[in-house]
Amino acid sequence: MAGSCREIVTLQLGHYSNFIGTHWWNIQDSSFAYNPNAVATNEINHDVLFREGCNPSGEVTYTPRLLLFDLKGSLNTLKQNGQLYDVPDAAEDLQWGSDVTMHKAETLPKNDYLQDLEKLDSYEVDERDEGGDKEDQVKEPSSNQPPMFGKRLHHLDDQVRVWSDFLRLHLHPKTVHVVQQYWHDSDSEIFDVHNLGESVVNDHHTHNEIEDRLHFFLEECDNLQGLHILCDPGNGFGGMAAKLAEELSDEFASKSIVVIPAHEPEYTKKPQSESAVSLVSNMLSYSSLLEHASAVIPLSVSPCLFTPSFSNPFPHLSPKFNLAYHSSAVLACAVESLSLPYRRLGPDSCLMPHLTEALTPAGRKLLNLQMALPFPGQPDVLFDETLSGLGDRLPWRSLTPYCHRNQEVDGGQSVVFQGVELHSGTQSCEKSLLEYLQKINSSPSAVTTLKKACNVTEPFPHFFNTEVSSKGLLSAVHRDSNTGVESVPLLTSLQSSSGVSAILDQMLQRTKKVELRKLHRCEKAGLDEDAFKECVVRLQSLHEEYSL
Amino acid sequence: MSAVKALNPNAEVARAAQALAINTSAAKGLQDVLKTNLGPNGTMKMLVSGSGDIKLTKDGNVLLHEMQIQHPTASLIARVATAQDDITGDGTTSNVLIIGELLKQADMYITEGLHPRLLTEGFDAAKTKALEILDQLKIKQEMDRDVLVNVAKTSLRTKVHPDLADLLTEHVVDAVLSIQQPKEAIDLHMVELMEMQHKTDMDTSLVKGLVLDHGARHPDMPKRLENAYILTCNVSMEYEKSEVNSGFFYKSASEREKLVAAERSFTDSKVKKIIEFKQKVCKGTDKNFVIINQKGIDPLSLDMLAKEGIMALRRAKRRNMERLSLACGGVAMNSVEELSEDCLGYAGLVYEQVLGEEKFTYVENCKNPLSVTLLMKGPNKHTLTQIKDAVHDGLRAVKNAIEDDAVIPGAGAYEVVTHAALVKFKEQIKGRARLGVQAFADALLVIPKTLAQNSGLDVQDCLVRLQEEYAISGQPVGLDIATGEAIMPADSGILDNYRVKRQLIHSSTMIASNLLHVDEIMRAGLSSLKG
Repeated sequence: MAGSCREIVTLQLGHYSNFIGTHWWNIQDSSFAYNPNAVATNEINHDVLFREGCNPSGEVTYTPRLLLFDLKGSLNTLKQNGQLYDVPDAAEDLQWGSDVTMHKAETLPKNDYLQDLEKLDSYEVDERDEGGDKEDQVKEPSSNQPPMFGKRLHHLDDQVRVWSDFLRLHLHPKTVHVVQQYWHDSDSEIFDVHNLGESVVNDHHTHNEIEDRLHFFLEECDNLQGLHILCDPGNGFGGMAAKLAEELSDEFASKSIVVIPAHEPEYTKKPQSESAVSLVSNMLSYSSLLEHASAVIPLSVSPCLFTPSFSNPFPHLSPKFNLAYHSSAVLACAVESLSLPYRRLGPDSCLMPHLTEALTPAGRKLLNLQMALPFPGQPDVLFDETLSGLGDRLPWRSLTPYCHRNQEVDGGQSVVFQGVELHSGTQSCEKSLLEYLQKINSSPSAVTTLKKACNVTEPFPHFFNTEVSSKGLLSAVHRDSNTGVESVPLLTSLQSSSGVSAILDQMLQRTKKVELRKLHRCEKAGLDEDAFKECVVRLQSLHEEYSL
Repeated sequence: MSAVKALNPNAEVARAAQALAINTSAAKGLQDVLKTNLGPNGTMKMLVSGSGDIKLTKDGNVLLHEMQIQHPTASLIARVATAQDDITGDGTTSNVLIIGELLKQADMYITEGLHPRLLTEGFDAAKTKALEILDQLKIKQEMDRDVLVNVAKTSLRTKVHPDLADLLTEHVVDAVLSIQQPKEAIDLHMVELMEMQHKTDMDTSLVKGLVLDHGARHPDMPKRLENAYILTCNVSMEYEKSEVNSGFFYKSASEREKLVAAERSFTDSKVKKIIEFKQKVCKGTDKNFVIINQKGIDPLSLDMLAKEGIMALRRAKRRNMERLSLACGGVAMNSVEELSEDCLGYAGLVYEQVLGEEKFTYVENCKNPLSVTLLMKGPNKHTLTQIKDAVHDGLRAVKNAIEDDAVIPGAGAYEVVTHAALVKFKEQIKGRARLGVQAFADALLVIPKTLAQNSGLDVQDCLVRLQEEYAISGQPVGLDIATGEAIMPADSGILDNYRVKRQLIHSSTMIASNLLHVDEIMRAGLSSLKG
């Protein structure tokens, strides 16, 4: 563990957040180079988000510094404690004198992709046992895949039901916390109200358990720079996130807490009472998160919340946004990219608190995000030409609800571009980008560029149109349908703008129609009218700060 | 035609006898599931999930939490039963059994034409009488260690295998006795439960002090110190974020680093203050110095402390700060300005144990520790979970006994005595309500019956023998599950908690009465009820 490493611990709360998280960890896992020779070309400091550990068999493990929360029954084939730390051959030693009955649920079938991963795991073990030369033991680089994993493309669209169906890396046994009180996809015990989450965290046993697990990941950090919290704000998980953010901000006053509330796009119109409950929960979560977090970046592929919307903003993708598997993949790219400035290796990296403080002047903690997936680069066109060819049409699309891509940036932006090596130009990409940005907008911009493009190998969904080549460039020659896209150049901009307050505005507009007395679910969960009024007032004053 | 049908044609309605049948069958179903759990000879259940997660339990409460109960009535009963556990710490299985039996008995009379209202009147009268008998039966004596051991043993023997139960019994009783403070309520949170995946369940031990699941993060720090001062504090010893941060857009990375360095001196001065203080109190003595800090300590500060031979732990859990003061004495300090010897705690021995990637720090040999740690060991996760569940129940049982200042003879004695008393009491009740009393009395017998059944004994034979023995001796007699003979539970050390029984009688009667009164069940589309 390098002394210069600035650790970040990540929390994922909610099923959709876990979808995003899974994609995100997959993207990172796919960019690992275990080959010592390749370390020199590594641009990302993986130690920031990952930890090195040691399992009971003495093997070295490398797992995310991650604590995730989901409901009972949401893990499908994933074992709660993972497999990495299983004690081998622990003989079942039952000392109970009388009868033992076994209640065994049917073993759940693993999908093709997971089965292939399992094969790959055992393949690696075999190799290790043979004591073969380790120096060129490269684990799953995109170019040199072991034969049995080969060129096979998995089509997971129909097979993915929960996030663990496409998780390609192992998690630490302390990572997965299952909320015992509620069932995933249940009709009778619904975890839909903000306050339900608060009471889950307040439960003595749960609280101790969460404290123990958080402590495990946080205590070992020598130079913690901050925390990421991905959460579903419109249900009980929002309440959990808010409660944890409150406690963490108290304990870690000098660290930065970046909260990313992720909204799953709505495809069917929900019954009115249901969407009202969701609205109320969202508002409670936002008002509390904005108070305790250092920055809040709402993300969704949908341009608006609370109402169904079917548009696909990305020109070179044809995703099925009704699948969480697809929409979360887009957001995962965004999370990967926006966090790069403080995760990269080398002297140019900055610290998370520096970034968040620079972008949140005067307590304006809401940030919006723009992303170009993929960046519209063409094989033989120079980078600066591509940029100047864009003219006033910004290449990116907004991933923050109610924000548009030509958003006025008045508080500064942090722009990240991945994929420099694919583009040549008359000057450095960084410089061209800065010049381009300044032409459009006079606000301060910080640019981070990385040579490598963003990895989108399996199990990333195959939703790129055929004009996107396997390297992610737009080309006239259409890609063969049996080849997947391996990586794409990616451009994102994390912006501080006053337009982002539209999301608060929308919420406040909609509450006017909500009669809290009629929402029995909220009442039952322990929300009283005064507390909600207080929350509305808080959001109003936050909103006013933006309209000054 | 129910009125709700007119409003919502899709509504499902069950009326009168049908409604009762639904409720009774749910209660019976739940009873069947939990029946085999009761008593020290009940069946252990091994639950294996679809992904291979294992859970091993015999605790009714744990089982009810694990099951996804779809039936609304069953889930209602389950909630009452688990509430019983929340309030008293035990009695979930008994609760479910009695509710089921009450409904079963009631069903017999109702099918013969008795109105539920009359039955529940009888239930109420019987309940009052049963509580009276509970008060008469309770054994009031000094709660010395032996009695407490018996109470804990009675509870734990029904959860884990006998050897482990006996081991845990000693530990939980000693744990509660150590944290007990005169004239103050017992706070079980002062018993820290620490899990360690290591060795076997029989290596579980009680540490009179604290075990923390982290260690010193510096290779040169001492791993073992004797005769140590403990400084608990909540002082950040890492670089704090700088105030001026506008440098993000314009300053280069190296300039930013300089800003960081400037902040450093502030942290260093805090660490130096502590070192000075350590030198002052330890100089010329053989005392050592340990810091347990709730905030962080960064590598540079650790380095400074290590050079002084100080062992420093960072990021202690908030809940352990209070425990540390109780275990070692001393006061948690919020600043380094007012350090004095009075605020220091003391431990005879502080040492570290490393297990794989996990570190444990033992703070032991404290003077008069008012907070202790139960260190649970086991080879795998599900064994640890099982021990933890059992320890929770054991601790509660001991606490209950101390607070009740009384215990109840176990092994079915209370039920046999109450049955006999209620049968007599029935004569005083006028009218058909007396049938309710009879039903209640018969329902209680489900406990000794199930105990006998789970032990492979002849149910009728045992029951008759117990009742005869009680009639002759007039003493509360219980069932010896090994032989099927009658025994004196108080003499054999089978003792139950008073409040558990009390709560049991209360809540099971109430919920059974409520369910009997139901004469219409509607299900009018769940989605419309969600809002």
